[in-house]
Amino acid sequence: MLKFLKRSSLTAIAGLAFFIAACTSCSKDNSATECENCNTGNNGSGPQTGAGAFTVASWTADLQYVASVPSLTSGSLTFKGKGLEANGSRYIWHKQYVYLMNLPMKRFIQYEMGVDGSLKEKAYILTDGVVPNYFQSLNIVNDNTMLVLGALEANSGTVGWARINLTEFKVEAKGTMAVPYDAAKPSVNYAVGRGFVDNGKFIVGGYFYNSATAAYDVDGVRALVYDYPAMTNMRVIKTNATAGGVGYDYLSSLTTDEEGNHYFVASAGKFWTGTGGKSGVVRIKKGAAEFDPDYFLDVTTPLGKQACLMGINYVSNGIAIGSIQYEEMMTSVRDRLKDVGQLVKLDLRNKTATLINTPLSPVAMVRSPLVYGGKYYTSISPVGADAAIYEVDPASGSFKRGLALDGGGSVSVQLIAPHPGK
Amino acid sequence: MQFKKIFLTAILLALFSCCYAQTASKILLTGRVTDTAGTALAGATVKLIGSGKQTITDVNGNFTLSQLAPGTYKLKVSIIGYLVGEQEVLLQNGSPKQLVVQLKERRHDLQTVNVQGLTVVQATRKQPFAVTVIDAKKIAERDVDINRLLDGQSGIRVQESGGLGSEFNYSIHGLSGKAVKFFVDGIPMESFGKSFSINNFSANVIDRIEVYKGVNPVELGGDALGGAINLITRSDVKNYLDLSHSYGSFNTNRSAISGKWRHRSGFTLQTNSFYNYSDNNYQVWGPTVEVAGEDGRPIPGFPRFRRFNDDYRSYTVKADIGFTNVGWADQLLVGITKADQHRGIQTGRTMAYVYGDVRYREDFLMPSVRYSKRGFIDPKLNIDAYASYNKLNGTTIDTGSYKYKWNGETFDSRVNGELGGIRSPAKTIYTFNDRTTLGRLNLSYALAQQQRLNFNYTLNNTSRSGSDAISTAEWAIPFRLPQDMSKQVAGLSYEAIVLNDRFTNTIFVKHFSYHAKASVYDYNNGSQSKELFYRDTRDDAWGLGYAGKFAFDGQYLLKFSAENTTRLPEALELLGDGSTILNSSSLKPEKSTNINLSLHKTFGWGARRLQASVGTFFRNTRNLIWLGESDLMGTARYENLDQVRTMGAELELNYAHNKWLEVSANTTYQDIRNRQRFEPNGAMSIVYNDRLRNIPYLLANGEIRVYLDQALHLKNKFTFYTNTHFVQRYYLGWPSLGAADTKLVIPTQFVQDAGLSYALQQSRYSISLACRNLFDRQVFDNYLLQKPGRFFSLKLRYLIQ
Repeated sequence: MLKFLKRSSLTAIAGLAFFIAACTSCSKDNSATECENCNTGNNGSGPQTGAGAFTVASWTADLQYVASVPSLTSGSLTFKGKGLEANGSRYIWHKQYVYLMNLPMKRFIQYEMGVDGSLKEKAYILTDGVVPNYFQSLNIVNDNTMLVLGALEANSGTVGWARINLTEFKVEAKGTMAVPYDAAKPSVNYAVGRGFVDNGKFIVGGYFYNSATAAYDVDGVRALVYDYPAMTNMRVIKTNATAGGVGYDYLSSLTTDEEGNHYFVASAGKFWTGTGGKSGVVRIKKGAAEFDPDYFLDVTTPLGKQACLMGINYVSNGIAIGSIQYEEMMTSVRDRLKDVGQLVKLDLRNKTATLINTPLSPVAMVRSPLVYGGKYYTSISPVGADAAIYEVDPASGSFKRGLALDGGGSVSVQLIAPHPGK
Repeated sequence: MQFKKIFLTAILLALFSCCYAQTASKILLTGRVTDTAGTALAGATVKLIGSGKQTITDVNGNFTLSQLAPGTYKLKVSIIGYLVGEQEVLLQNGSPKQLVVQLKERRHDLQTVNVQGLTVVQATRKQPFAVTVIDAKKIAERDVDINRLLDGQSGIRVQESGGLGSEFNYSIHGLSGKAVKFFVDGIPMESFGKSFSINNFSANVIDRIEVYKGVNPVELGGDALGGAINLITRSDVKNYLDLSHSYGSFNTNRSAISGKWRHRSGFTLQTNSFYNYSDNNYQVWGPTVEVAGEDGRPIPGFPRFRRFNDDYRSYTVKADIGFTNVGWADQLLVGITKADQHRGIQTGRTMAYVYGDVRYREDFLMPSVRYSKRGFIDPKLNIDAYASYNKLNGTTIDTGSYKYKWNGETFDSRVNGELGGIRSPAKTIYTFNDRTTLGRLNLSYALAQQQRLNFNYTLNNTSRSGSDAISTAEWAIPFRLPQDMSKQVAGLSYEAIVLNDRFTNTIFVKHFSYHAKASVYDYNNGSQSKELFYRDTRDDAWGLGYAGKFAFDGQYLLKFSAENTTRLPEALELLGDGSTILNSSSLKPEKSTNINLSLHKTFGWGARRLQASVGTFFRNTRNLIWLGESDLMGTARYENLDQVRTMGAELELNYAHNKWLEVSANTTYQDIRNRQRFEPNGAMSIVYNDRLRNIPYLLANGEIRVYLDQALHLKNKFTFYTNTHFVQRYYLGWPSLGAADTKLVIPTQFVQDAGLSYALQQSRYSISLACRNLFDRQVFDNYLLQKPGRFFSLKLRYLIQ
């Protein structure tokens, strides 16, 4: 009896604690728009005005460098004698922190962006504590929590996950979750993508690749749904709007609007998670755990040249900016680093796509562009020409050159993030 | 292929026709001049009194007098620094004569020994090429690591990834990797695998090591571009047996046996064999040697862990049978070499990637035949012909289902193999089978007393097949198809010595050609998915060079050498290794213009001697072949770097005080710049003209040797030595990029070694004690790959002569 009372009271306390925690955090869990002063989307969130500086991360000559600049619209940035040598592979920013996956050291590092423009390593987590290799997919699921995913045994249906408490920067829970696996097709490998938490579900994208045929294994558009935070009850959801992968893990391939609707990039390119079909945007409505069957924003048809949508960043009022690469100009996936990319204005409400005629460049490979102060910022680094951060006005689709990047096409910007304001 | 067959047939014909060729000549007198220790003496004058014939011994101490009439003569051999040797010689029809002449050192004439009395080592040093020669006989008692020994020479840097048997990379004057070629007795070792490797040799099976920097003589053959290291095994005149065993830290055992038995008929048996084993379980610590706690944060304090999957075992048995120093051949030896290796692989590209079950094993078998003869057909013609066929099988075993932590524990979750970086892993048990035909022909012809022509031809043909019963990895697909590679290098040199032996000139021309058929799994003409197909690559190039030396009044020696040369891709670079190095079918040959200039001077004060040399070097290398960045810390492939320019200087000092003290020191500075203007994607390179990353630029070494037996007038040989190595820290990334205080570095190395050796009964028995890395410093040659700490060893040696 005593044991029963003790167990019941413990259960009650735990339940109460869970209830309080859920109440205080569900608003942040369920919609990024309810996160005060947050950007929308999963590639970063933080202050939207008054930034004292900006951090720019770039791959330059085989290694990765991170440096801060006072402005994105003027001046110049060189990594000659400047910047942290960071060896990054996956990037995300949230509040005043930039997080970076350092591969040679297998460390997931937290850098603090100072008001004064400083950038300092604060702490790190060893990925070995969660997955054997690295955190492949980084997802801010609420103001204080990041959910990271990494393959354990990619070919046999298991992915490792960890929930990181960002305040203390430590792993607060970890485990494994099932992913699709067909023992009859052992060469088909699921690559985990980006995901979001809404209404007690974690919904994550990804793509399937068959190493035996060296081609993407495509069956409509598929995503996976789990109970959150348990990460159990895996379920595959699907739309036949097009055929390709969604939510590519290291690109800005998932975003959320003011209403809490979630938009995945569906890449159907033959060189990028599909078979050469129509690429565009698919939607999962707020609170739902299925694709919106009536929603597909076709980008390939209006832009032509086998345009494959690669990235998306929501700005406001139904407008998002996307990045595309023209597969007609490519002979293999390696050509994505050549001048084959441009930007596109996406009207998510009216399902229209309008080309933003920026100079051709590998812009689709900028992993984490920035939406800040109602403007969109990315790097345009044409091969053999001057490179710069460009500012795009989402309303008009106009753009202008800003911060010049020393090194031209040899500089491949990966992340742009704002420092906290003074 | 047709040419190859003709060439091999020609070698065989040469081998079997040699004895017939000799029957037509008159009596031939050949021999070798050595000191009492058996060391060959070059430059000795050999006179056959009464015949009107005389000659000078070559760099190996050998001489030939031909066209002699029967009769009794007096042979007189003289060289400064040694007592004159005289002996009666009876020459009869049909019986060519073979002699060994030993000269005793002239004790009261020590001050002039270095002027004329050249040993082979000294004679090699006097070549016009930029060359360093290590006399291994002087260190035979030591438990010496060849990599460490060579690392102490000027202009040479050896980077190792771990302990005994680990991967290593030689750099000579800034050119590294396969640009530095290894030879054993003049035969290129590039197809011999990892078991029969330079660092596995024990010091007491080696006679000497020659290191050519940048410009290489035609005789060596091959396509060495950055330099050549020629390891000469013992070929003592006398019969001998040399046994040694050493035991050291980390359960390191090294055994060697070297011996020769020659019957008076010339029948000869000889061997140079060795065995190496180590647990390599040395301690590592610091960044990346970390274990996570439950919260993912590292357990604080950087605890130390022992390596647990780094054991290494290898052996090589090399045996020769045949005839030596007979009338029809200086040597006709049929040999067999068997080598084997088995080792654990502990880490990936950094120590953050810990492997617990990955293994590599290799076996190598090579029959060979070698024929050499001075005065072949014509007294002025020397021949050295070699042919071998080898089978090399290597297997990478990555079948583990667990990932390991540094404390030896495994993660709960299972994985599918450990290699492959962070990409989707796949178990593998890939075996490659190489079949290599190697042929080398060297002909030397004396046009006149001071003029010589040298022709060298080397053929290397490798066929590779591979199999993997379990791998599903995409990158492993091309390795399953057979691949072929064939290389041919031919060279011709002309040497003339003028101005009373003061001015030596050598000009040479080389031709390189190769043909490769490599399998490729890649996008082909815009295909959506990758396809498997063959890529045929052919290329050829010419090289031209000059080497000269000029002696100013016997005081200064000026050396100059220049070469425009080519290096063809090796099998590893072109065909990959099946595990972490992918094949690279589009590789272009590496080309370089190499220039060396040096000045040498010897100062003498009584019994003290100081040799000083200062040199400068220049390299302009196109299509440098280097191992590119790994793909997600897993597989990597060799790539061409458009252009690299190297300039540098070195200083070397050697001081000897009487016979009891020797001090040597050297320092090298090299400035290696990236001259590639464009990135692979066509963009202008931001690091154009930057110093090449991940390569040291300032090196220094020093050593003190004290011969205590000479100093204290002891009967038995008693030696103490200590040395130090210094390497200035250098950046992993491009030096110009990033803030200096945040850059990733390979830290400064400053390491000391010391040892004592004691030999008694004229070196019949010896014992030596050595300590490497005396102060147990944490040492890195590569980024985050720690080398062993303090290492003690004890070596016992038994020598019968």
